Amino acid sequence: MATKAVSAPQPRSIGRCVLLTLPVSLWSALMFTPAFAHANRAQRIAAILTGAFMIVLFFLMMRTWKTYRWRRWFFVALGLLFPVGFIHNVMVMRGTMGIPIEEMIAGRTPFCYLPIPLLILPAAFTKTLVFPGSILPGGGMSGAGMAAMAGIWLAITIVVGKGWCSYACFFGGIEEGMASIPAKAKLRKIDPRWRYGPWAVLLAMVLLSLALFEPAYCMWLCPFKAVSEYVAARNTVGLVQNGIFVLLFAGLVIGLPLLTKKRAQCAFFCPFGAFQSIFNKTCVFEVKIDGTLCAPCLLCQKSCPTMSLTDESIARGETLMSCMKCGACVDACPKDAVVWHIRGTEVAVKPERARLMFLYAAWAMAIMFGGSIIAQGVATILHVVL
Amino acid sequence: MFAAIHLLLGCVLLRYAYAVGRARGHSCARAELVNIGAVKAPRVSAAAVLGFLTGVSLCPPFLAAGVRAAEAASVAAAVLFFAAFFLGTSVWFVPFAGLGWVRRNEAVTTVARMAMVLIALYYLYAGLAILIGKGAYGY
Repeated sequence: MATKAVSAPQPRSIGRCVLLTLPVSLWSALMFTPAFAHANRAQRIAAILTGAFMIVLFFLMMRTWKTYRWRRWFFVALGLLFPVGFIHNVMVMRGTMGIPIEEMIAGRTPFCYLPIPLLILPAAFTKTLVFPGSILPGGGMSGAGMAAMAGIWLAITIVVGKGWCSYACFFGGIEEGMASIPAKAKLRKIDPRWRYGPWAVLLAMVLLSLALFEPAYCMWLCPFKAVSEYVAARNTVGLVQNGIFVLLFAGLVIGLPLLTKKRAQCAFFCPFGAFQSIFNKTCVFEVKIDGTLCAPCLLCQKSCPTMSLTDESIARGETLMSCMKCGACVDACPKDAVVWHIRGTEVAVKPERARLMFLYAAWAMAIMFGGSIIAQGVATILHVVL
Repeated sequence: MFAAIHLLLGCVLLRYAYAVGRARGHSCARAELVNIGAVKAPRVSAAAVLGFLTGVSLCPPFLAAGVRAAEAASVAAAVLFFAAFFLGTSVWFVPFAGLGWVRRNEAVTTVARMAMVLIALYYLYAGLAILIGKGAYGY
């Protein structure tokens, strides 16, 4: 059946866009105002720039009706600026990006959410958290602190599910930026079984973490150690570990996204993404396909950065559970058949309302987590430049 | 010895990951997965061999039960105690009866094969590290 595109919608009126952006502006002010207390000039300018950046992007989402196009700017900025601020911090604190294993065991590393699924079995069997990070200023962690982090994560997950991976994760932006560079994918035929990769890494790392009583992913497989803090290479093993980190980063975060135009690390490797997928089955918001409007032209399938749409899933009118709610498929659909949806409501009835409600939740999270990281990165650059 | 065991386990995992892929689509598992030995030579059931090897590796609860049985007043009491111990611990194996059904799911099989390869690589690395006189972390 031929695809007949619906005519492009008129931009939303500026006044209405301003009104819709107002809650986000207030939230930004709430989040970035504390940065002015005890802050230097670079930090104050960075807070203003970041707040304005987030508000303008949301305004453009409202004005153009598009999500992915503008979210991508935020996400790539987050991915690129996270290492800037992070490396600066560890250099100031430690004088090196390399972390000795004793420091890691003592929990004197910054908090990272990726090892969360790896903690479950060791904690269940031994009541001990083998966590390689800290949430207390002096290192280590408290039960209350851990409970607070778990509470925040749970609240976010219940609402946006795997949307975390598109609006809060500070690792995915680099590969999304890389994937957006080539006009066309050079590597188009990807065996769909590679989609199971994250589940395999999750299973292997959960079992190894229990067997070795350590966060095995952080010790052996995290590609982002290459741009955050690597294992201090005091012997051959350290070199092997760092070699693995660099190879995985070069392959999954740089090489494959350039060749496939996919978020290769997220789609084929990230164990946290697989863990987060589970909650896509229960979260409030999801992406649906209205079968009465769908041609199907498969543009949504081609645009999906994680291969979360198959012929079968499109026929069923839904995405796979690996969907990150980035909005690429919704933006790509020429017939407005791919829509945002609130679980429990009728599909394609007031989809823009569902999109708005999702974006308020997701963008609030983006400002809270991503915004502070972007501001830190910008402040670091300004500190050097000014 | 530990190095050899690590290397052997790594190789067995890789072999299984390969063989499971070849066996997928058949109604029954291939002989090479369930038997040990050459195809034409007399073979023994892998389940029996692995069960025996697991059995001779005495676990702490089993040892504790053995001591308790030895302290029993009579042979009949000891046998009764062991029978109850066997029945009680067997309950934990009931869920494993359903694993054969799970194997028919292609996604589960693929995930398991990929995980097997990852864990096998770790075992091979650990085996080699021990072989050259170092631990997995070089100490």
